[in-house]
Amino acid sequence: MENNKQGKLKLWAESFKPEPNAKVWQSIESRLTNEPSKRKDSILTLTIIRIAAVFVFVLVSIGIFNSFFTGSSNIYSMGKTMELSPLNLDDVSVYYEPQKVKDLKNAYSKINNH
Amino acid sequence: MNNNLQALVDRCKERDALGQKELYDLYKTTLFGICRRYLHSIEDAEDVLTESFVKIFTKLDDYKGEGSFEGWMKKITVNEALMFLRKHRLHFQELDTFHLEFGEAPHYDDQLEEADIMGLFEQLPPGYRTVLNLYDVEGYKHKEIADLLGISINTSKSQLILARKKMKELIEKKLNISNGK
Repeated sequence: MENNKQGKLKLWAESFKPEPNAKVWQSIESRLTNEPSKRKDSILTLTIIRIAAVFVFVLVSIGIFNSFFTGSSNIYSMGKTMELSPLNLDDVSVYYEPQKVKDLKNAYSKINNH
Repeated sequence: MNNNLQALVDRCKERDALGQKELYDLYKTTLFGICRRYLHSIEDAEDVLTESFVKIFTKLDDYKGEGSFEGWMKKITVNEALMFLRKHRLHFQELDTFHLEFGEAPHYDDQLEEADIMGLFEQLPPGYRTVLNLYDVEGYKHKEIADLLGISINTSKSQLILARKKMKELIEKKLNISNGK
């Protein structure tokens, strides 16, 4: 019973075929002719974005490369300009050598004992 | 799909303008019928028909031959109509189905002509009309309707009950007027 009633409605829906206005096809047609050019535009935009991204990447890479080597070369140039004073060992009175100190101690104790 | 239709679809895939016009002429009334059932104004229905055909022609490669081609086009049209309704803030009143009685589907009397039924549909509020279309005509289940419209299953059920009730009243009123009561 329920199905019969719904069946009638379905039948009506299937047979309900009103005619749309002629301008509908015109707007579909114009949309379809604009569609490929829109697609071309979007492809062009995408290509430009890609090229810009590569360009930015190259610029950033060059920047990083430059800053790295400029920074290192600064260190090298500092090294070059730095003056090294010669090591003066004259005022170093004692060289710590345990065996020699031990021998010296023994020598002193022998002298003191005499 | 029969060979003629397959050949026509192939022509449309190659963006043959004459083929597209032929396909449009073949299905324009069927799909416009769907648009009219869902939308109150003829202008809105024509806008949805335009959007649907543009989508059909541009997405033809997506049709993999599963199910009927007409069914695929109808589904696109129903989705476009629902998208249009959502954009225009179709509102569903949240109601508890607890106090609502599950009434029978209305009896669409033989005296009612095609134009009469459309006239009755036009008198239904958009929410009732959408759920009645989806459930009683398209054959969707409440769960599917709830997913499609972003509403709860209970809301879908309550909208259907109220839509059927309202439709019954409208049919009786129409028949009474026709019979001179």
